[in-house]
Amino acid sequence: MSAYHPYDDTLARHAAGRLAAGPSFVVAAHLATCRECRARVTLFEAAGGALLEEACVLAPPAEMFAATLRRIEQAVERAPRRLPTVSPLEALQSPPWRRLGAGVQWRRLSLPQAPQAYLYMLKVARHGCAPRYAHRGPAYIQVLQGAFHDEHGRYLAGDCIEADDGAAHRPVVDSDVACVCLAAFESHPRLTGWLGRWLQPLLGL
Amino acid sequence: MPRKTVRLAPGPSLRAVGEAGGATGDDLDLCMAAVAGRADKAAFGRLVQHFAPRLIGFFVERGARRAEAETLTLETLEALWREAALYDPRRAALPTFVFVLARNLSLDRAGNDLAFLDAVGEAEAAPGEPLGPATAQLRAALEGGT
Repeated sequence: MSAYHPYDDTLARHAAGRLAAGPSFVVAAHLATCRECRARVTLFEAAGGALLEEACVLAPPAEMFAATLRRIEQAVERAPRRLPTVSPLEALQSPPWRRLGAGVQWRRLSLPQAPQAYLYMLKVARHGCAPRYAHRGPAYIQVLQGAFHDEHGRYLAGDCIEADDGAAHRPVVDSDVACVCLAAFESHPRLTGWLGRWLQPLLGL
Repeated sequence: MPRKTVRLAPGPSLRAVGEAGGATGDDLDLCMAAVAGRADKAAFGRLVQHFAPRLIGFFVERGARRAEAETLTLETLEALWREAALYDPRRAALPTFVFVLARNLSLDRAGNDLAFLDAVGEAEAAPGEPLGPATAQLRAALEGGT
């Protein structure tokens, strides 16, 4: 049972298809383990169905049905979309981990249709400190394994943290296992502190 | 075709539409079963007849131009044919399923192919929860930018 969830408006934007690709992916990873948020998203989607049913009725062109059938015939070879089984992460190729100082590893994930999204996995060894970093715009972080705390609280596997604009963080892992997080940013995250500023250009983070 | 014994997600009722539009929710559910089970084009025609005008209206209300709305409608209807087997009336009402297909199109365009027929996969909303506040919130989300 998670203690930290995406904001309700974030879930609404996710349901509306109005959340950027990276954050939407993090929300989907959260939904994979959070029944409560799934129920909210389901409710928003039902509201979407109601809006569709109430939409003004505009007569389609006479050839709409024929045109639809033509499209279907041209597209027969396309297989149905596969549902994610446990987590959307399973559907992604994961590049190898890269080291970032002692006990810290990261990799950038590439969404097939949004390769530019700032989407990362971070793995910090137990009792390790992640590098201090800052970001512009909100950050969305889902704890996949382990636990960490920062100046605002303690976060366990299954928690989703939305950090607001401009925050600087110094997460400290306090679980007995390594902590693995999925994180999406709306802009390039910046490592801060002398070590981070020195490492960032070398690592292409 | 199993009867709708469980409706976990509160969905809009199509029965009212039956009086005005000639098709009830159960009729349309039967059409979906015929499309999924035997690629029945006549049944699909009834689905197109019901949803095409509403989809065009829905996209126009969200600011699409008429031609763009018609293209999006075509794409949604194509997805409805392709994904018909995923529809389970016990989990979500048909308009909800169609909304999710339309929404996923816009995700594809914005570059997020991996999200997610989750509405269709599992519906766990509290039964009978009123849609009103959620509708206002979703409408606001739809009208905000990405």
